[in-house]
Amino acid sequence: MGLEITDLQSGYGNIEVLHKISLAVDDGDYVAVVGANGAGKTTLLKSISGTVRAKGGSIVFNGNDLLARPAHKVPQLLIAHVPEGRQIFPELSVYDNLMAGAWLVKDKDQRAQTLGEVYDLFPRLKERSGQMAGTLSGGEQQMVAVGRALMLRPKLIMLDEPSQGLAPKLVTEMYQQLAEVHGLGTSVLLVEQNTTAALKYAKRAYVMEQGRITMSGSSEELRGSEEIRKAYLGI
Amino acid sequence: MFNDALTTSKQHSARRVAWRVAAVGTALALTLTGCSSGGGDNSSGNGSKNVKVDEVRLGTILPLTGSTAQNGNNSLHGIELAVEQINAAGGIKSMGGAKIKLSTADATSDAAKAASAATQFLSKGEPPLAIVGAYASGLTITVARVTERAKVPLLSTGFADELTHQGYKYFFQLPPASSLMGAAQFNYAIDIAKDAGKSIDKVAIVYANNAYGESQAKALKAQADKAGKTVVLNEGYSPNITDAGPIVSKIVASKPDAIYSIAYVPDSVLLMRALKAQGSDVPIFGGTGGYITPDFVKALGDQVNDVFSITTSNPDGYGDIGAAYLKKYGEFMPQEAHDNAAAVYVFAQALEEHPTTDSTDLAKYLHEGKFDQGAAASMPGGFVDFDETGVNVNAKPVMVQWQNKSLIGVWPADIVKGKPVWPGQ
Amino acid sequence: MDILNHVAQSVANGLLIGSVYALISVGLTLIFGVMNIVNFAHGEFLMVGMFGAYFASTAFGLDPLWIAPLIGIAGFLLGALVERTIIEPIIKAPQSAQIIATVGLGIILANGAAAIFGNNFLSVKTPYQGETFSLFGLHFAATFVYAAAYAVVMAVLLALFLNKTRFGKAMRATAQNRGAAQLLGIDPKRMYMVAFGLGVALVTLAGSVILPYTLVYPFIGQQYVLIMFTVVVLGGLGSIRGAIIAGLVVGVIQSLSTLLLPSELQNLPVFIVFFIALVLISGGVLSRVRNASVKLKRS
Repeated sequence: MGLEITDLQSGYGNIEVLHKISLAVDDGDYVAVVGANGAGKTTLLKSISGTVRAKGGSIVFNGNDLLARPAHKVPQLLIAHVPEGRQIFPELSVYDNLMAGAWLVKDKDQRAQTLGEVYDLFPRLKERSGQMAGTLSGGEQQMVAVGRALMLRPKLIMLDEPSQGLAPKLVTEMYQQLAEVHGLGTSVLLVEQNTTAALKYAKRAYVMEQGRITMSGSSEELRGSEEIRKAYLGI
Repeated sequence: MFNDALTTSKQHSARRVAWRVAAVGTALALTLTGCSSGGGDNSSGNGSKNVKVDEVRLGTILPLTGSTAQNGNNSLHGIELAVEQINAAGGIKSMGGAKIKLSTADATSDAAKAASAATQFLSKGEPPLAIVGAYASGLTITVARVTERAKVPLLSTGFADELTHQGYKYFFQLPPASSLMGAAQFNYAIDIAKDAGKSIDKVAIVYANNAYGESQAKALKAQADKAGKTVVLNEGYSPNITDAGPIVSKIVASKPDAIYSIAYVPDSVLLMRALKAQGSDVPIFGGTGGYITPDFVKALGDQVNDVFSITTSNPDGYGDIGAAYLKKYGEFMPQEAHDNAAAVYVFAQALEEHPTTDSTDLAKYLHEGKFDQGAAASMPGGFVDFDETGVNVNAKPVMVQWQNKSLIGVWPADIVKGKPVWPGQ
Repeated sequence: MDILNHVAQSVANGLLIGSVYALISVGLTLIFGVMNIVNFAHGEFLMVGMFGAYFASTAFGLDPLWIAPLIGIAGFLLGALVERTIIEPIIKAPQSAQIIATVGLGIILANGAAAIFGNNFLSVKTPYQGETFSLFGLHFAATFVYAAAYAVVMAVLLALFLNKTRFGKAMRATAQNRGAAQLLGIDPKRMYMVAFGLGVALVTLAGSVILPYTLVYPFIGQQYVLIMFTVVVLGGLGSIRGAIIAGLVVGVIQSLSTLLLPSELQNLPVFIVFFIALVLISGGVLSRVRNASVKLKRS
């Protein structure tokens, strides 16, 4: 079970970005997709969440065909997507941003409880709960974006470049918090240019180049690979 | 939904061509018989006394959409009723029972669009022999420019003075001009007050700032100055106002003995409501427009009683056509419907007495004749008589008053039956 | 003293009419804020509301003020239907197509009304049409007081809806970032339908509320559309709070200006203020349109 992607072809208009990609994220897995800018990593996540329409292949999550769903129905399967560039709601308060993440959670008590958990994870957000999200620092906005996704209590959380624009210290912090989330049983699918960080925290990883998966394996294996060290880790 | 000349002409162009062929055929046949019988008349047009055709074309350009659409549609109703009546009575008998064929164009309520509608109307297909229109003075001014160029008589119910000051040869104005209307509105009111033992010394003039409102207000002001009365307020406003409160505040603050108002339906109703709300009981003398319409009484009910208005023809003297209108449309015949119907009767009588298929020839006779048939007879004075500038020299304004929610002609005493009632007595 | 009284009366009148301006305009800004669509048929929807109120009130013998909520509900359904059938297909179309669609809709509504109801000026009679309230030496026409009261109530309800309810917040979220909202499971199409419905509901309700002091005819929308757009642009496109403030400002400026200027120039100062706001403060209307991310601020 979990997420299974088979021979996925996807892109924009007539331009195909992903050429028959296959990958899997098992229950409780922590998978990173690494690769250079423009390799198609963002398109991959958008195809899963349905904001980019796939042209071929299949995406199945716990037996559900994702390609048959409009984008707004994908989160119903408890898949959360933290998009590139955070995409918070700047004119809503931090609290309202987080609560927007629980739009599909009809149970009020569950919302309150999850909010407490998110605040525990990001105490900073609790302090700023009444503030307009647009006035927060970049790091705080990233917390809002992740916290908002967590409000769904997702089975799978997908993150697009969570370390982008963050200071090194904050990157570490962010990944530690993500590890905590993963520790609670949430599967993680991460796409990152920051290969060092990704391979440090993920269990498994895929390497993507020009819309194709060129390597995959455990993070440990990939960290040891000569090619990876040269091309991505700069060692 | 509307009689739009453009769509009508497209839809019926085939039929129109057929008619034209028939008309030309008939004309040819008449020429031949005319020649063989030795009559000297030239049936190609000018001055012919022996013109027999199946139909004579009459155009009308009216604001059928936009802010003065209601008046435009009322006018159209009057015109259609007159055409029906004339055709039912045998058409233009001297022209072989020719039927009046009416075609209609929408002038909208925008002067620029009115001109282009008129141009298209006159340039497509066979132009009408004469045109009746265009209700509002502002529209009529631009339409008249077009009809003058095309040498087609325009029978108008617009009041604006400048209409007959252009040296136009093809323009005919049935109702009294604004200056006369304004003077009568002012002087009749003074006379009515005197008759009731009252005196009007301070007057407020409020008007919609379009061609019609401004020219009539100018006449009122001139008259007030001449009569040595104090104009405590002389205020124009956009005819598109949505709230009359500020103007009425000014009226009330100026403490007049009488209010002279030139307004269309929406602003007249807004003014009346606001006057009531601000507790004013000053007598109101309206200048036609909204004050004499069915909608005015429908909107205001009993509140209309005692309100005066100047108008161009006496509504309780409309006779047969007034009764026919009430029967057909379920409301009393408004002034604009009557006066436009009168225009049609003038057209028909002119052709009856001077058969012609030539617009210039018709225009010449319109200047010469006196017209007293049908609705033309219920114009004040009993007939219509145009001078060389197109002014109806016989036109005389009438003061009407809402009494028991009906319009009654109350002044001047020699041409009306009713008696004025001073408000509050 | 007399002058002071006049000024106070003018400001009061301006606030009353200004709140009505806010009520008729707020739906336009809501629709733009959420959907990025300029609804050029907004004036015609006002007309539809007025006709609805006229016929409902003459048929049932009820005051338009009592009928207003029902007209609002009917307006909501009408708006939702129009959104689904006419607006939804063009939501991603070029702006020119959207303009043509909504302008066309307005023309159809106005001419449709003319065809169905005729070119008549219709109005209702209510017992309070001639009444005034007096307070501190100032006088207020009852019809305007009731209309303004409605406007205040609707503004409060709208603010509560947008700021306090889950649905309202989701609508604002959609306005601020459609893509992100979709990722959270919010259906943008549903939000658009509701937003358009609400915008139409507000303006049709306004039509019902103003009917006692005015009258309705098929082309009355055109009389209001200039005020609507002035208010909405002055308030900042898409800003609810801005539209409400701008409505009041326009009302007061208009009213005060009649103290000094002839009535025919009552819109002149409004346009001057509007122009200054446009050029100096917001840097021009186009930049405002482009800067569409600043939408549905806390209202």
